[in-house]
Amino acid sequence: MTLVEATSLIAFISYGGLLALVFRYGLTRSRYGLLFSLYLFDMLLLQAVYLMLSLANSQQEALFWYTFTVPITSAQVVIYFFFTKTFLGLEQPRKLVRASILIWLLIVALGTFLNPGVIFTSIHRDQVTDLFVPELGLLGMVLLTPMLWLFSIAVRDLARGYRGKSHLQRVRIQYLLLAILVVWAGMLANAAPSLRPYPLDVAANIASAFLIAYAILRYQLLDVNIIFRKGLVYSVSALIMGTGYFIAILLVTSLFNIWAKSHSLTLSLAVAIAVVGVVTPLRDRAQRWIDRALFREKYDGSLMIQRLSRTATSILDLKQLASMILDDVIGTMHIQWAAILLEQDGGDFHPIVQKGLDAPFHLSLGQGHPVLRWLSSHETIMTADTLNEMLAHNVLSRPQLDELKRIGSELLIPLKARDRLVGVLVVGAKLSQQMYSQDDELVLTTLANQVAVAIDNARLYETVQQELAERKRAEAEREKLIRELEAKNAELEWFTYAVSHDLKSPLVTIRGFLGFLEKDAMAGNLDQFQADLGRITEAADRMQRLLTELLELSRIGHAMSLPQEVPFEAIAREAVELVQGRIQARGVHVEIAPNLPIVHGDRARLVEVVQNLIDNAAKFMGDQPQPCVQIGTCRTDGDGKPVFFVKDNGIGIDPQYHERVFGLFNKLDAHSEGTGIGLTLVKRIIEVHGGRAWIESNGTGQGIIFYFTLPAQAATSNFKGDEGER
Amino acid sequence: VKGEPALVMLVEDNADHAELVMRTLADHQIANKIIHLTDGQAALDFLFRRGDYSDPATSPRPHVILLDLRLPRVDGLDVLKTIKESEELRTIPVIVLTTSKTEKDVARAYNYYVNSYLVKPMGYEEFARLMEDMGFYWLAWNTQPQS
Repeated sequence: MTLVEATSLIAFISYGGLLALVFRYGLTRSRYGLLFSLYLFDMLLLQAVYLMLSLANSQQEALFWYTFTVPITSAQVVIYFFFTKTFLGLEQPRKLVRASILIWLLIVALGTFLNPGVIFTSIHRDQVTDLFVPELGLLGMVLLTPMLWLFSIAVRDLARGYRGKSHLQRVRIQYLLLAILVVWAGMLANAAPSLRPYPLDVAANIASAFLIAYAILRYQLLDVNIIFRKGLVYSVSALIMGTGYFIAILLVTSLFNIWAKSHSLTLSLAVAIAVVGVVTPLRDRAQRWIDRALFREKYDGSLMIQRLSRTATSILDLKQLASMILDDVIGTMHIQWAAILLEQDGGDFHPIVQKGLDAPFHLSLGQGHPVLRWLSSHETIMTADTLNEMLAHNVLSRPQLDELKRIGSELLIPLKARDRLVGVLVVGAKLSQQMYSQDDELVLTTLANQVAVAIDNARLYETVQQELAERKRAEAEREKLIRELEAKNAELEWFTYAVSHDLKSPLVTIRGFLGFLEKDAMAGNLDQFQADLGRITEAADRMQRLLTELLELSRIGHAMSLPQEVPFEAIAREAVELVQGRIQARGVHVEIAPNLPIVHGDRARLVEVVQNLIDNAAKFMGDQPQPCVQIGTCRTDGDGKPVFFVKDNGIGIDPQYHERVFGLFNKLDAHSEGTGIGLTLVKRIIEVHGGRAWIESNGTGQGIIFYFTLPAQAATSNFKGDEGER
Repeated sequence: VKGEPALVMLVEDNADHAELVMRTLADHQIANKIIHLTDGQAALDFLFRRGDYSDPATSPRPHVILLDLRLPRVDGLDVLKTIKESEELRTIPVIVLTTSKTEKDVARAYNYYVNSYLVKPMGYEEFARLMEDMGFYWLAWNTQPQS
């Protein structure tokens, strides 16, 4: 077998092996992987043809096989062209694809039907290599041009890609450029006569294929480097151990030989077993040491997983949990940055924690976003390349994809709990700019699975907490409503009672005195008749007044004007104006403090409040020689509402009656004028405004201070007057 | 009717009603002496001989108490309760005379051991009749312990 034949055979076997490897690792699933396997298949065919050529005996035979090289080599260029495009994530216009295939078919047709004599003009036996070599004709030259053109575009794309991409991408492109360089070097070397006997071009092709395969395997994150390194290191340690083991046995048997002058197989066996017993734990320790020394990251990674799985489930605050995980991941795996996206209430995914990025990124992946769909349907990690492929095919979701690319997302790891995607762990490049190894991916995936469960836990906990809080709040609200309702109910009950009692009262009077009238008339007692008639009229008047005031009371909160901002001083002045008659008759002096705050409410009703209070004060002045009423404000209450007061120096009220005075028809003095509605009205109006009314008095003879709060400005108001029916 | 004048204590804030009671009672010559008080506090002061009524000579024990329920200052029911809680006063018959016959009031009054619960009737004839019957029953027919 000649050197050429041997090289062809080796190349054939290599391509076959690579092809098997590509299938074995499932690279054909991706587009570039498919193109690469096509390329390998093409090269496999070429090597088969070369093998046949090297075995050719006649010119005809050689020419027959050479005819095959035309479609095969041109296909090689076309495939390589598309491979680089796909690899770089560049667009491939349909026109370009069609044109290339058309040109290739044309070449195939020409090469097949117009040969011999058109593409290859003649064929002769090369003296140096002892092979049949064809001369390329004019048409061959012409057909070579589009091939060279496609090839140069591929190289240009690679060069451009090399400039613009990340360090990671550059490393990948380096492999492809190196592969091209090797092929060209092989071809140039073949042109030199002295090197002709050696099939350097074939060797270069093999090397190039291996380079690409290596790049792809790394690209797919099957880190050949680590496997190789680890294997080598382990074998070195095993070699040392083995040598020691061998020497030990040799030494012991030799010593035994010298001493006993005889060989013993049993002894050798016994020594071997003893040495194994001593060496095995040593070897284990050595391997652990190697693991720690050389594969620090992996070692740390598994430690991190252990650590996180211990603590993650005990932290129930989502943000704290995510933050802790990211800190640990970045620190242990030496990653530039990492972020966790979590599903929010609306079903969209947002970053909740991001670490290591200079400026935080904003991203919202809606339900059904291709990235989420991909992560939901795949069990694996999404790489930057899948992202690139998506970018080439998606228009609608481009902004999010662009953002993910801009920040340099290297891996997107799905966080799945109970078969549902609950979040995404996004990591940037490693600080060392090295590729993520298979081990790294394994660590990240394992971590992601545990994180997902922890996040799911935390989320469930959060939901339960929220529900609990919500329930508690609802319960408190209900309690409050019940209390309010009870108070309202009691008030209403009291109201009905008071109404039934006090409205009936004048009726009893009227009917009773009608009987007296009759008797007076019969007795001819005119004076008594007049007096009794007066009683009846008074009772009727009283009843009318009661009805009017009751109606008014019932309308508070329903028929109110729109609330407005009114200076309290204006309200006080208007009220004083309205009760002028009575205060003058009693000689009451009214003082209104200056600079009273502006209040928010129904002006007319608030005037009524002050009017009633002044009226009340004037009514119960007793024999005070200098009756005086002061209106002012003293402080603000807990809610920031101003506290107003109307203070008099009249007869005062015993503290035990302070609550009673506000009750409907409650009068402290049976002989006093009025119906006993006035203060009930005051209290009701204040309460409808969201305020509070109460009285203070040091007792009989000490005067009274009526206090009430009112909303100061619209902002602090909870005035309800405009909610009622009108 | 015994020679000793029967003292009726009327606690009523409504002057018209008080007059109605007093005139109808007088018409039938039932009570020759009526003490009228207009609020609950005054009634208690009188009964316990406090304040203005501290002199026992001017505040004798009444034979019977006519009590309105809606009273200023101290409510009628509270007056009733205080009377019935007092060992000294609890034997005096207390007759509630009021405008309302709310079930709650009736129940509460009897819970505080009221002796009778009367509702002021509408109409003179009925009012006069009630006063007559009530007067005869409590002041003539009824026997009560010597105080």
